[in-house]
Amino acid sequence: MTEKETAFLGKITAGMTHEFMNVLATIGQTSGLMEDLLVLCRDESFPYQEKFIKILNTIRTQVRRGTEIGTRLKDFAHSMDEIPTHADVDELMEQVVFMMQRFANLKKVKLYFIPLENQFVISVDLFRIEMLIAKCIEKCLERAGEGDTIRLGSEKRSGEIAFLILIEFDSNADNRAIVDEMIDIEETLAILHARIKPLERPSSVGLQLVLPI
Amino acid sequence: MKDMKVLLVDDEKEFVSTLAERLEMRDITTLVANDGESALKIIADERPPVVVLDVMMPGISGLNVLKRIREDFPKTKVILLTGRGSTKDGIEGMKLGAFDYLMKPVKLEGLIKKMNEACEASRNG
Repeated sequence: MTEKETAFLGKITAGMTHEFMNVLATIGQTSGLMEDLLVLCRDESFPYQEKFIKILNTIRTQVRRGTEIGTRLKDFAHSMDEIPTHADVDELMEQVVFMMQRFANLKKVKLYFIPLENQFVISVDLFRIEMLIAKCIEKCLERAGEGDTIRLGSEKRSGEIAFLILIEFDSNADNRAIVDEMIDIEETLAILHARIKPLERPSSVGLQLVLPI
Repeated sequence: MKDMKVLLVDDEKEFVSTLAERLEMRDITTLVANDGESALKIIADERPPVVVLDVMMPGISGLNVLKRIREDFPKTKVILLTGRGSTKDGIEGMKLGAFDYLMKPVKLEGLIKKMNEACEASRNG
């Protein structure tokens, strides 16, 4: 996609997400009003009262869940706004893990990230780097099995930052095959001057995405 | 805080009318406007000490309404409501003289607490 195309996609997604969040806010306030009314008549019982309270709790939980998803989607949409943009590395990893969580859950694979000890902000093409990290996680998910864990971390190095995506399952697995399969992102890697290398650690294999900064 | 009067400004009518109803149940006199121009008219007539103002509205934007409130009604304290991921608007609003900003969706207790603080600040000039 060209930058104009991604900017358009981002703008529309952000706008529609904003509308969606307004809907959630209204549902949240309306169910809050119902809770207020229930408190007012707490000394009088009515049929299915407990059921009403339970339903309102469910609404509140789902509104909170929807709001989190909407906020993340809006952040993702805004990642296409400016190139480059300043990004906190931990927030970037947290965002990508959130975006890929559903895919990990479908495979019953645990996915999490390890934050850096200190805050580190980089100037980056946020949309593309999110895509690259997500692609690495996607490739690892293809290799991972039920019950395995994929861990995302990062390392500051001189003049570059490395994102480390590790499957903690099988130290004998051939991870070079994972790298060879990633031909569909060569163009994006070239744009960012980034590279993907195999990664081996005790009891885990994976990929590292190295980005000059 | 007793005798608090607040103006809510938001173009989402269902949201703002429900929020107003909840505040009224808590003895907070609540006025409602759905756009900037209406808000400025109500402020001129009713002089609420606190305005809760949505940043994104059709017509006059929340930040432009804020500028006019600061110019014409300097004692009125403005709490901005911004979308999450729009902290830029909140920060811009603070530079323009907003009392504070909160991110939507806003928790009622948090909003009331902030309104109390703003009302106190308005009374103290």
